Amino acid sequence: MNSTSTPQVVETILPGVGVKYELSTRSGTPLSLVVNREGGSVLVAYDAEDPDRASLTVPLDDDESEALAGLLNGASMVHRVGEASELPGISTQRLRIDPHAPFDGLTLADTRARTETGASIVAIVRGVEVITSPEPSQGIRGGDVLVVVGTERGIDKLREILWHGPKRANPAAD
Amino acid sequence: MDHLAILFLELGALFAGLAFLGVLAKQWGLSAIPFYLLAGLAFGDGGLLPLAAAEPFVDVAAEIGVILLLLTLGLEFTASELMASLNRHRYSGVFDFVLNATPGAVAGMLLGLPIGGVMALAGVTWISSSGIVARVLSDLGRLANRETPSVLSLLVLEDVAMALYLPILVVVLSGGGPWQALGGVALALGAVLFILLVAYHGGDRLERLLDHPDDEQVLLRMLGLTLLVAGLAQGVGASAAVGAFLVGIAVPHQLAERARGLLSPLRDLFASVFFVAFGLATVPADMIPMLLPAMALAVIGIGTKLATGWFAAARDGVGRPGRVRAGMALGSRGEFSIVIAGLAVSAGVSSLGPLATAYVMMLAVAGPVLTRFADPIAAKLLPSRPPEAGTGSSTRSR
Repeated sequence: MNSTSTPQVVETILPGVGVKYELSTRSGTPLSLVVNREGGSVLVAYDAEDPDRASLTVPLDDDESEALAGLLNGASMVHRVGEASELPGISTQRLRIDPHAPFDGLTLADTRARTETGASIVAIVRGVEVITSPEPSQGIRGGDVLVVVGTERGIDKLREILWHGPKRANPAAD
Repeated sequence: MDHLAILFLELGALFAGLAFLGVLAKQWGLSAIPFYLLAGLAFGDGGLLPLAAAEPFVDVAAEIGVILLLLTLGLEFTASELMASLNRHRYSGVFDFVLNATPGAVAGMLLGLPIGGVMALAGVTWISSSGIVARVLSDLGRLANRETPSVLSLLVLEDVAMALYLPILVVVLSGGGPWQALGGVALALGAVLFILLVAYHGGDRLERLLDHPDDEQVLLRMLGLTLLVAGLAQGVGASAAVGAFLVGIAVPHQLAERARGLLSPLRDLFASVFFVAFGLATVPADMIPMLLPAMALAVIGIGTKLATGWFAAARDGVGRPGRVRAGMALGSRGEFSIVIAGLAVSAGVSSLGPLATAYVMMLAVAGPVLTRFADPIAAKLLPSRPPEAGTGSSTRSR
């Protein structure tokens, strides 16, 4: 990921309306979000000829902006995991399932992740799709990226399990 | 027919007529205010409908309309918005005042108005209509434009300046000499400072006094407090409207948001009656000699607001087309010009009524229309594409 500097967000108060957040993107196209005081927000793109003029305004209800935030979050989650987590001792990592790996075609329950390692699989990133809070019956495919939260040790253990395949009759083994 | 029947029929016809006019205004993308004024001119003695039985109600409702207009205006502000506007746009605010109050003052002197009338007319030409401007910008999808923060900040500064201007105006209108006017200034400043202190230190207590899970309770408490303060203010010779405005400012932010939601339907109802009443009090025939002065003032008023918007937006690093958009947006005059003129008329400067009616009717229509077509106008006014328009993004505000 190309992160030479943190993106700049300029906050401007719009008296009587709300707050405008303006993001100057690296692509050069500025993007704004106007958050209305009374709820809802507007996503704004600017005119190429007259960069002061909003050329595209998309009003969003609160649930719609939440859905959009979810999508954007999912897309960036793949990149962000692995960065330091906020809780001491807890980290977040992503573990890739290679095609034809032992778990390709099995389910989350087969990993016995929670029981064996204490780590939780909180999301599966599959292409552009993000499966959040997956059920134990959720299938795993080659190419999936599992987003895992746990202690360093727990995650290391889970990585090993994923590498070796499901444990069978030997729960006491290291 | 008995009195009550006539009263209800008149009021029913009045509100039904206003509803119809409101739909027309909306359809044409205009403010309803000039239509309500027109309705007031059309009704009344010698008009379509006499409104004789309804007149006592209309008179009281109009006064309540002014109070609610100013109360909800006060509720609009948060301290942070005010501070941000003052920090960034105070020079634009001064520029706005000097440039736009002067034509009104000069016209008032030329028309031979008394000093109170001169001051009132200066206020009429100075204050843009925050209601119309905010609505038009929202309707046109321009709230996110880069010139909009400067426009909205100017509106906030104008509205806050009203808290000082109105009490002084009331003292001058009542015929007080310079010392009394000075006393009025001191009183106004003291009251504003006192209210800000109350809002700052006693905000919690005020909130506890007014807040309640029940909407009905909040509504009644807000109205009760506002009318009490308004009555007191009127009693000591200040204006009831000023009292209501200060109450609005003092209400803490969280509660203000809820109160605004509860009060705005009431405000819309009573404010519409206020505009009708103002039109009612104006004799249509008196407007004819005032049409030319009003038109001249309107043309000048568009020009001076254009210069104001240009100045304010340029200070924010906005390109030329955006500066024209800002100037055109500020051109609308509306509710507060009428409130100011109303104070003057009730103090006996009756010739201001027809002039202000004509002036506001012109600019409440022309302002939104010019705002809508600001981009083609900018293209006409600025024939060759200036190179700096393309670099607007690099000179962007902060």
